[in-house]
Amino acid sequence: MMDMSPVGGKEGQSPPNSKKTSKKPKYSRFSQQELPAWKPILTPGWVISTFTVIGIIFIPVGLASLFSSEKVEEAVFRYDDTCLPSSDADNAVAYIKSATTNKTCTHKWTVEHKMQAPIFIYYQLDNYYQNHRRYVKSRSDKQLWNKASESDTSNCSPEDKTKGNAPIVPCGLIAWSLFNDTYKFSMNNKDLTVNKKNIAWSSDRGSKFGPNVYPKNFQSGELIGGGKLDESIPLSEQEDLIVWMRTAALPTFRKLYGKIETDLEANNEIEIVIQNNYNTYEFGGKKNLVLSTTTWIGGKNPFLGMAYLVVGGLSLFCAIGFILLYVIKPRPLGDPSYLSWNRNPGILK
Amino acid sequence: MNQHIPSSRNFRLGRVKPQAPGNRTIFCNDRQANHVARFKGNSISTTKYNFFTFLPKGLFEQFRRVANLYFLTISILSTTPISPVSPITNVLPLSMVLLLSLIKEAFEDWKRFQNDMAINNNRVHVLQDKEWVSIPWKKLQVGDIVKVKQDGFIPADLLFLASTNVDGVCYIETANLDGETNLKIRKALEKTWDYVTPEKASEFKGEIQCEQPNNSLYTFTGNLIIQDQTIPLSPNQLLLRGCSLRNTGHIVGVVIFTGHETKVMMNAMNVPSKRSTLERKLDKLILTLFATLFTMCFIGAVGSSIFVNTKYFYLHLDSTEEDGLAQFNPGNRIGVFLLTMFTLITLYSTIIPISLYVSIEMIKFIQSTKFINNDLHMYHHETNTPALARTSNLNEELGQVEYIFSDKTGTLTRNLMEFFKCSIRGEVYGNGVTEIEKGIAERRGIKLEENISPNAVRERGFNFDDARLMGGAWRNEPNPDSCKEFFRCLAICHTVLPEGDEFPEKIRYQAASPDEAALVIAAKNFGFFFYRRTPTMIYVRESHAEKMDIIQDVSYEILNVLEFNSTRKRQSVVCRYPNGRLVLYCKGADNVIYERLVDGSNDIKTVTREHLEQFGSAGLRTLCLAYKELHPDVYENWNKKFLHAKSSLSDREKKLDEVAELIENDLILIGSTAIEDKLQDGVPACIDTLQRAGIKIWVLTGDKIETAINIAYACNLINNEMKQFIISSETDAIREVEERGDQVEIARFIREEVKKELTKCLEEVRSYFSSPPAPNLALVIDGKCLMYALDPSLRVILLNLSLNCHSVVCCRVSPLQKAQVTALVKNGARKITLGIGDGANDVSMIQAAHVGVGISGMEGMQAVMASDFAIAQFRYLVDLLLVHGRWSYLRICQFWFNFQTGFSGQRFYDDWFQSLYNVIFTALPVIMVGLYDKDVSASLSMKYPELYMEGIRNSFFKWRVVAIRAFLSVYQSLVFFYFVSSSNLSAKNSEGKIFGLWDVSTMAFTCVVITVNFRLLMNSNSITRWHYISVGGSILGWFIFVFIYSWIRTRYDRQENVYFVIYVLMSTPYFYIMLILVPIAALFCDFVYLGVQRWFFPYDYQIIQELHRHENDDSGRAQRLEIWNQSQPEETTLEISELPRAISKNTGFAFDSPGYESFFATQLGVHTSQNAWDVAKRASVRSQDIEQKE
Repeated sequence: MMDMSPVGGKEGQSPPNSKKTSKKPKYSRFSQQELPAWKPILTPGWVISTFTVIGIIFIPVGLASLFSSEKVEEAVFRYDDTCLPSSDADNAVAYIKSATTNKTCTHKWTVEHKMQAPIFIYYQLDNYYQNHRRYVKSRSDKQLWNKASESDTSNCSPEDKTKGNAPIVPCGLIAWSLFNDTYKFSMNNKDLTVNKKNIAWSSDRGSKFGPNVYPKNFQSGELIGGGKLDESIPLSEQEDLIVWMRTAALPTFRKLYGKIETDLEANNEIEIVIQNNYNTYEFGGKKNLVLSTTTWIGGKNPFLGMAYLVVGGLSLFCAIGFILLYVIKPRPLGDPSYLSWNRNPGILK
Repeated sequence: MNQHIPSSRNFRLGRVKPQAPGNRTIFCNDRQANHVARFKGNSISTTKYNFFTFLPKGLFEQFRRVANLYFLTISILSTTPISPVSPITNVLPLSMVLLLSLIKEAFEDWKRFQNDMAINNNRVHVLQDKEWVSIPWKKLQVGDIVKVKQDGFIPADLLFLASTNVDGVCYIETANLDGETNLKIRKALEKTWDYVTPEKASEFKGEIQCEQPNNSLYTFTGNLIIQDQTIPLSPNQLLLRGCSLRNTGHIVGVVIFTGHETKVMMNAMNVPSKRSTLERKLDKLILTLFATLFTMCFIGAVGSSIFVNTKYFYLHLDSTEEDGLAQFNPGNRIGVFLLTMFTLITLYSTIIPISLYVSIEMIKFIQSTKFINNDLHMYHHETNTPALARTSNLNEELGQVEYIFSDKTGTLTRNLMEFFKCSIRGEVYGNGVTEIEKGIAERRGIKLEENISPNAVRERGFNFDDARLMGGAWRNEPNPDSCKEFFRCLAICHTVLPEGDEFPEKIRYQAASPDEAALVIAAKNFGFFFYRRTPTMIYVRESHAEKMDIIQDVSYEILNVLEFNSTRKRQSVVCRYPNGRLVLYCKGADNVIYERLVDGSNDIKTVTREHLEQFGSAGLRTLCLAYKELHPDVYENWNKKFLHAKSSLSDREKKLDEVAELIENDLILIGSTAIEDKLQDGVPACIDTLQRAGIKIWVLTGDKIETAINIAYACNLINNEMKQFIISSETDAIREVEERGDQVEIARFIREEVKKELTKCLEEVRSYFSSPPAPNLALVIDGKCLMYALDPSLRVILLNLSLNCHSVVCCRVSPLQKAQVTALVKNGARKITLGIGDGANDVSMIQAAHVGVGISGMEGMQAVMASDFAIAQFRYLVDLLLVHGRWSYLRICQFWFNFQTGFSGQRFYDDWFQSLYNVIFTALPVIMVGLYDKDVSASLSMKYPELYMEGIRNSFFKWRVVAIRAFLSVYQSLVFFYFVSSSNLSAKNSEGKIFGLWDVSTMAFTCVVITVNFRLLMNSNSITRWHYISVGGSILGWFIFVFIYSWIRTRYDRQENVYFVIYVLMSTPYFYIMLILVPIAALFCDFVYLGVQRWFFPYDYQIIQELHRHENDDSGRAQRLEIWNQSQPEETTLEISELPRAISKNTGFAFDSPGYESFFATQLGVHTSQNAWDVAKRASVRSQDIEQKE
């Protein structure tokens, strides 16, 4: 603790010794904290003009999106209830699980407004937790892409291997629970072709699902989760599977089923034959069929436009509000009398 | 034996430590005999760790941080299978944090170690086989006989045996212990005087029985048993480690206490690990966050355990044999709950950013090494000392200091007395302007012009500029005779010893007090050069005394010296001129002199009194000079009485005082002197600034009460408009009781007195506050009273009283008391304290305070070694606190809030996104803000010191503010989640394709990154190009990262979750529209808040910003730098006399007693028999001896 270096008396203040290296710090703008800086001050002018600018930009954008969203034609039918024979209403689960019951049901639909091709067909599930952690990770991307990694099923349990310990391709809960309702459309007793090509994102098709990986041992266990796969078609062409395996973020979601590539005129009578195979009755989920056109912004999506309008509107409102506030309760910019020690001088405590 | 109780305990007890039982017996010069007792060695160690304890202790220190402990838990959890994230993302950053912190600790401890080594390896001479052998200090053992040479430091506590001085005295400087620089005298026992030479000393065989090591600097009891005689020992024979030997060839002593058992080391407290209060508050915040996290997890876990149900057949929850099922087994919901809880905790762990501490450490490190250490404004040119931040933990603490405890000598003052002004027969001479006057002038808006006359003489001890007196010009003044008497009085009436060649330029004066030296130096400069002293004569070389340009040596016979002591407060010398004229010269405190003046010439008295008051209020130390012609008969008559008194055996002191009274009357007033206790540059201005900043300054000094009050005046701490409470033990009542000598009675009486005084003062304070306007209050208390006032029963009153005072002066306090006072405020009032000092006596105070500041650049390093920051000058405190401290505080706060934005729904992000979020995508801009945010420029910080109060009030880190920020964060997270997921149902491009989970999450994450970075900019007060670079870089970095990350595919295990996601996103117009919408919507609330806050509830700094919005930044500070760098601010001659000033009652009497009545002695109530005159005589005899030998 003590420094005992023998130094002379209190005459310590020796003059700067030029021989010794000066310890004077070097000047740099950084170390002196004098970097040039822009010092924005949020003056009323800034606040008001920022709000105004946001309002002016957002409202047209919102109107545009709302407008294009309105242009989208969309038709939604729920069919899980209507396709359930009334005789089986009380034991829907048994009905849907039975291999023998007739699950075909027919739905008639009159087109309200003209729908321009392509018309996209979606199925919409509800209360379906594709984002559950157990579910999301229950897949093997390696296996899907690479034939050599067939036996890599580490995350797939319990749908990883068959009883005979043969790997299931594709393994995991996601694939196992593949959606398997089908829809057929006909107009005036003439079938409308449903194009099921190119319904998955091309990146999935091209680089996640191998062109030489074929389904194997799929749905061969006692419990059947959902759809089956044609073992002669490589995974990269099983687009329904690919779509299904791009898991949804929220428990209510839509997935693309196919496209109808002919225009539907208003008042066209469409007959839809639904093969109601998929079990949502067990967990009380709804099933919907959606037909929709798109615009540049995508499908029907009023939220986006509304959000823009609301934010823009609020901005304008705030701009006006602030103007009013400044008029009612003005405060001169940089008025020293607002300093806390000037407001109440006895503040020393 | 040798129990070493950590001294910090004593400190907490607030008392001098009780003696360990028993005593220690030391056999002098007999290592073998002492070996049995196993005394400790003389090596010291102030390090925190050693080689073996470093890792466990260091890690323990690290895990005392709540956050580190938390991350440790998370890391452990994340290695288990229940973790949804890979362990490496948690373990790696934690290890980095720990490693960095440990390296830093190791480095700091290594420096301490090196310093210890340097001290331990100092050499000292030890007696071995009749020879002096040089060994390092650490080899010294109890019982060794050592030799210490002149100007050497005492290596351990020694029993003083002999010195080269004839009668066994030596002079020591105790500056390292109590900060006093006047020499103290120590006297060896007569029995041991002869053991000076090695031959003789080796014959010394004795046994010392003494008390156990303790921390009381001023007491020592023991016996020396020599030749079957038992001689009692007193503190007078004790030389303490850390003192240095002066004016003595060498001394010989026996080592009594060594190393950590020396009194000075036992006074030093354990090096505390200081953590800033803000950091502790951050810990609390982390705990709050953790509680939030826990609640979230709890809700989540409950939800999860309710959710699991076999009805979700696609989750396959009914399978039995599988490992991972336990978490989701609907048959065991409690298990599900617990496991999910852990999972969620690890998942959401990023709510508390792991990089937080790394970034904070980094910011603080850069702040201290780059900014504080390199600040040119804190570089002291004369001593070539830059500021030094010795720890980086406390930077932001500097922004919240409310109480400063300052040492006086060497900190506020330079310990340099300079003759500054004088008043001779009603005429003021000297054109200097003191710092305090400058301060007053500045506050009144008067600009002082520099006006140095070319013939001004400056030397150490003399800073006087007035052509009317210099170079013999005084002969033309209206009263040259008075001037002559004045100068003669200065040249004759003192106890100073001249040293060195007898030329004005070369001579050095050895004085007990620097005041005396200054007076003699003044006489020299006025042409009355005192150059030689013998026991009976004083030789003065007088110029221009009789005629112009005539120089003659005059010898004055000194007949009597009537000594200075604290009751007499004056000193007289009776001298005989060569022509036989008998004159008594007297100098002393104004009130004492005035009582003894001859009647008449009242106008001179009045004028001089006015001058005295003027000097006093300018912070100068005054003395009145008077003289009296003596008739030989009268003198002879008196001298008999004097000699009689001097030779009396009982009550000699008292009798001498009485005799002195007989002759010290009917004096003729000559004038008065004014000595400046040279303050360090800019101290009053600095103190004024600090006070305006709402900081209260306490002066804790070992000095006498008068000196302390005077300095308080000089520093502007006390002024005449203040109501002063003085609690002193120097009252007649107390003195009376003390004279009776009953220790118990004395203690009881003083306690009662102190209690009475304290309650009285407190009542008075209350009455002031009940009827405003209350005057500013000041409290002055001395060490002895403080000892009782710090007693637990009175402590509360003391605290209450002192917290209501604007300034507090504690004088005559011991190092331990300094620490106690500091701790009283620190713990009692829970305020942030700063201790500043320069000497070893300040170490405990520096360590006790939240922030310790050492004055560097002078000779002592002890204070610096114990400090957290070292600066060269007191005035740099302004820079340190107002600029660096404020900014640091602001920045750390800003930094914190910016970190919190990450509080959003991260639940669906990829592992790496999540763990890199805090580390890469947002850390850099946050660090930039942490480094560079400035609300107002440095010069404005100084111009408006009141801004500092925001730090004291902790405005930026109130829970209310935190709550607002948290609310905004929650709002943002809601925006992110709902906006991004709202349109989940619709197709996202014209091809009708729909986003999956990872598309949505990546989009949300992109929005978060952009929002956070922009929010940061929005909250910045100053935006440099580094801000742009880091903000732009972070956003760009995110995109680059995600481009690469979603593009690469390796052969190794990887989740292809995000494969190509960003390209998918970027192919849709939807993405871009969201990218504009979400950040703006998220920041909407912030913006409104900022607008409203600024307009209706502006912070002070915001007003200042507005006030100076058009000004160019930092020009003011640069100017200031130039001014400081000009060598010395020169005094001015000016309309200072025209300054309106308060009528002062303080005449500034603060003469340092030359009586060698040491602090030690007065503390004990013991009077040393040594007196100044004897000392002076002896010393002069010695110097003559030496001369003759030569």
